[in-house]
Amino acid sequence: MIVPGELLWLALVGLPTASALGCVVLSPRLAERIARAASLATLAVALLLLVGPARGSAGGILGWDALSDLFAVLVAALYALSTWESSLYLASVRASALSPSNYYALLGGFAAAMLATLSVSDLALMWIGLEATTVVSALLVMYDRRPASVEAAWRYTLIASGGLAVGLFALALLYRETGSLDAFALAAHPPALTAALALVVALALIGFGTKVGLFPMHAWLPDTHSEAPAPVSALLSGVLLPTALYVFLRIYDLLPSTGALGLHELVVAVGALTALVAAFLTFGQRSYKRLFAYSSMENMGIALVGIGLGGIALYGALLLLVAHAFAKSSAFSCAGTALRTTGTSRIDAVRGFGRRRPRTGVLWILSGLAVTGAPPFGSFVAEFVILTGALAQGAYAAVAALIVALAVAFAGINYPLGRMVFSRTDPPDRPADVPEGWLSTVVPGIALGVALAVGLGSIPYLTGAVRIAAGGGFP
Amino acid sequence: MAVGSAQATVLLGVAILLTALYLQSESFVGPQIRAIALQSLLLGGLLTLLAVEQGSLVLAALAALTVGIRALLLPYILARQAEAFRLPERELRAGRRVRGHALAAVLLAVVGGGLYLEVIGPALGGPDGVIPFLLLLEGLLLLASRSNALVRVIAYLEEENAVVLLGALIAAGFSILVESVVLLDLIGVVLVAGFLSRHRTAAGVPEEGFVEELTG
Amino acid sequence: MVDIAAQEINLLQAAVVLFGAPLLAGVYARARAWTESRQGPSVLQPYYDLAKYLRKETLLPDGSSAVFVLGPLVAFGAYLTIAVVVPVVTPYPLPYAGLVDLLGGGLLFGLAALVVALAALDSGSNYAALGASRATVFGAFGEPVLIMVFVAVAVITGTNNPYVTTQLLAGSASAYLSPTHLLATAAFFLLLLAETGKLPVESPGHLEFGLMGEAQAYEHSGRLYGLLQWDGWLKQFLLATIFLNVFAAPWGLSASPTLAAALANTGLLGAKLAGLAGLLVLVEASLAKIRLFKVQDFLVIAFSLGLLSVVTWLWLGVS
Repeated sequence: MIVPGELLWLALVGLPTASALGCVVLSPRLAERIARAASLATLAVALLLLVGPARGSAGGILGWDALSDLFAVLVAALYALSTWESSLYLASVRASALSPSNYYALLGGFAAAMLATLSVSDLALMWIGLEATTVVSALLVMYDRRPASVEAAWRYTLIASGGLAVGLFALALLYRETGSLDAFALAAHPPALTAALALVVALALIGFGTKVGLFPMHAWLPDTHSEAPAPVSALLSGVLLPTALYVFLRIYDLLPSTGALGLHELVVAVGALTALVAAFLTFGQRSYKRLFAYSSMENMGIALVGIGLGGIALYGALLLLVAHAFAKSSAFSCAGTALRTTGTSRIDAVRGFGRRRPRTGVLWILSGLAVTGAPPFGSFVAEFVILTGALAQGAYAAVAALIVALAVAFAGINYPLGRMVFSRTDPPDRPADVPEGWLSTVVPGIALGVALAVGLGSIPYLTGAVRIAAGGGFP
Repeated sequence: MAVGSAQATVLLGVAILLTALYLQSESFVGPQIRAIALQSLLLGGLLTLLAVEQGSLVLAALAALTVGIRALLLPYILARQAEAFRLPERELRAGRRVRGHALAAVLLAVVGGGLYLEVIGPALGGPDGVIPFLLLLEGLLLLASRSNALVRVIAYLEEENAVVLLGALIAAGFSILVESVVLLDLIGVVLVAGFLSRHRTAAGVPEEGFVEELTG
Repeated sequence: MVDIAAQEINLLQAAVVLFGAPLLAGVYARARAWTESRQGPSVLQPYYDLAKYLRKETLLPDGSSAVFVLGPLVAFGAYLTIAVVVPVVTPYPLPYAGLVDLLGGGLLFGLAALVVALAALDSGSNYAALGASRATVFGAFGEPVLIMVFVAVAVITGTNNPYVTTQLLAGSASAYLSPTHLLATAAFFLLLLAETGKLPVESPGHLEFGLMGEAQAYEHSGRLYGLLQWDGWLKQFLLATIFLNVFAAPWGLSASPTLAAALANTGLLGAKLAGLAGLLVLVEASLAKIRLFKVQDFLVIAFSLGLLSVVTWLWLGVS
C-alpha cells in the first residue's frame, strides 16, 4: 500500500494537534497516555516519510522535499522523547501556572506548529508557523512560574517576535521582487540576483536569525533554554532552532552559489562569530543548563558556517543538526535529572553527582562529549566534514575560527561537567540515591544511542570528506 | 495614481511616522496605547485610500480588519491589561532617559532615511518604502530601549504595522490572506504577553527584569 | 526712482506694526479674560499703559552703563527693521525688503533678544539676571528651531525670500499640503507659543512663575520700561504676522500696488490675527504649564519637527 505524501504530512500536523485538543477536551486524567500515544504515532508517520515513495511535492499549500522529511523526523523523534520523559518533570513541580494536561496540550501544539512550519510551501505560512511556536513554547517555558522562568519566557516572546517581524518585512520585500512566496517554485526558477534580493537575504538573516539565536540577536536564548523545563529545553534546543534555520535556508537557497554580493561570506562570518562568542561565554557560567544553552548556540553557529559555505559543508551542517538534536536531548534530559536530584542548577553546588546517580552521570558525561564534537559521535563527523569543506574552499579564517570555538567549547563544557560528576561529595560516603525510574535513563540512553549511530553510520561522509580534501570529487 | 490621493498617502505616511516618534518621547503607558491606536487608525485610513484608488475589495477588507483589530480591539485589550496592573499612567523610572530616547528616535529617523535613500531605495527602485522602513526601525528601537512590559508589546505592534504598510505601499498584493492570519497571530501574542506579564508582576520580577539567575 | 505709492504703503506697514502690536496684546488679554469668566481690561489698555510709562520718570540703577539704556532702544530698532521687510500688508516686496532675507530676519530677532538680555544683566539685579539667563538658555534652543524652519521654507521655494514663499504657497495646494510645509508650520507654531510666553511654556500675568522674559525688565522704569513692553508686543505681532502670512494662511492678499489694496490687506490681516488669537486662547485654556525643565523638551520637539520637515523634503520632495 502506498500512502500519498499529503496524507502523511496532514497526519504529522494533525496527530499532535489532535493530542493537544484531546488533552484539554477529552479527558485531562488521560492526558499523559494520550500525549504519549500521539507522540509515538507521529514518530511512526515521520519514519514512513523516509521510506515512502513520494519524496517531494510542491504546489498547493503543502510542499516538501527530502530536507523537510529529514527535519520532520527530527521533530517527531524529539517530540516523542520529550513527551515520554515529561512525567518525571511534572512530578517534581510544586506550583505551576497551568495544569499538567495543559502542559501536554501545549507540548502537542508546539510540535504541531513546528511540523506545520516544515510542511508548507509558502514562506509566509512558514513564518506564521514559527511565530506560533513562540506563542506556544513561551507558555511552556514559564510552566513552573518561578520569577526567572517567567522573565525568561517574557524576554523570549518579545525578542523572538520582534525579530521575526523583521523576517516578515524581508518576506514582503521578497514578494515585491518575485511576486511569489512559494519556496519551491522560487527554488525551481531562482530570481535574478539583485541588490534587493541581497537585502531580503540580509534582513532574513537578522529576522530568522533571531529565532536561531545568532549573535548578536541571541539575548533570549540562554535565558529561555536554561529556565524552561528540561523536556522543553530539549525541544527548543534540538529542533526549534533548526526549524528556524530551515526557514532561513529556504530563503538563502535563492541566492546563486557564487558571487552573491558578499552574502555567502556574511553568513559564514555571522556563523563563525556566533560559534566563537558562544564558546567563550561557556567560561564562568554558574548554571549547568545555561552551559548547554550556549553549546546549542555554538552548534547553530557551526551549522550556519556549513550552510554559508554550501557543497559538502552543507551536508556536514545537516548532519550536525541531526547529531546535535539527539545529543542535546540527552544532555538536557540528564540535566533535568540532576536538577531534580540536587535541587539546584548551580554548577558549584553539584558535587559527586556520579556517585548519587551513576547511570545518569555516565550518560551526562557522554552527552557532554557528544555535543562538543568528540569522536565517535555524529557531531564529530559533521564538524570534520564542515571543516574539510571550508578548507577545500580556502576559507581559512572560518576554519581557524571554528577550530578555536570547538576547542574552547570542548573545555568550557566538559571541564565543569566532569567536576560535577566525578568530584567527591561531602560527606564523602554519601550513598547512592533511590533510582528515579527507568524513564530517566532510557530516554537519554536512546537519544545518545541515536547520536552515536549517526556518527558510526556516517563514516562514508568522513571518507568522502577525506577524498575531497585530497582533491577528488564527492562520491 | 491621482495627484490628490498620492499627496494624501504621503501625508498619512508622515503622520504615521510622527506617531512613532511620539511613542518614543512619551513616558506614560496610557497615552502610548492611544498613540498606537491612532497609528493603526491612520494605517487603516491609508489602506482604505489605496483600496478606493485600486478598486480592490480585498484591500478594503484588510483595512476594515486593521481598524477593527489593530486600532480598536488590541488597544482595548492593552488598556484592560494596564488596568489589571493598576499602572495605567505609570511613569518610567526617569524622564531624562525618555528625552534621550526621543532624540535618538529623531536621529534614527534621519540617519535611517538617509540610508534608505542612498542605499536601499535605489535597489528597490524608488523611495516609496522609506516610511515603513523607518517605522520598522523605530519599532525595534522602542523594543530595545524600554523595559516596561506593555510598551514592548506596543513596540511589537508598531513593527507589524510597518510590515502591513510595506505590503500596502510597495509590495502590492503581498499575501493579503497571510496578513489576515498575521492579525490573528497578533492577538495571540498580545494575549500571551499579557498573561506572562501578569505572572511577571505576581512573581515579583522587577520592572527592569533583573533576575540573578539570568546573568552571564 | 522713488515710487510714491510704495513709500506710502511702506509707512502704512510700519504704522500697522507699531500701533497694531499693542492692540493685538489688548485684544488677546481681553479674550483670555473672557475664557476665565472675567470682564478683563479694555482692549485699549496697552495704549494707556504705554502713555503712562512714557510720562513717568526713568530711574537708572547704580553702576549701570549705557548698555542698560541702549538695550531697549536697539531692540526697538531691530523690530522696526523687521517690520518693513516681511510681508505684512502686501504680498510683493516693498522698497526696503531687499535689506535682509528670512534668515536675516531671524538674526534680527536674535539680536533684539541679545541686547535685552544684556541690558537686564547690566542692571546688576539678581532677578533681572535670572530672567536674562533663562531667556538666553531657552533662546539658545529656540533659535535653531527658527533657523530650521527657515531652511525648510528655503528648500520648498529654492530661496529664502519670504515673499516668494507667500506667493508659492498661496498658489499651490500641493506645496501647501506637502509634509515639509505642514511640519515646518507646526514647528513654527510651537516656537510662537514659546517665544511669546504662552502656555504651556510660560504662564501669563504679572506674577509669572518661570521668570523668563518679563523678569528681564524688572529694573527698567519709565520710558525704558515702556519701550521694553512695546518690544515684547512688537515681537508677538511680527512673529504672528510671519506665521500667518508666510506659513499658515498666505491666501487672499491683494497684489495690486495701491494704497487701497494695502488697506484691504490690513483688514484681512486683522481678521487672520483675530483667528490666530482665538486659536491661541483655546490652546492656553486647555493646557497646563509644563515644568521649567521640560521647556527644553518642548523646544526639542519643535526642532525635531523642523528637522523632519527638511528631511521629508529630501525623502519625498514637494510634488
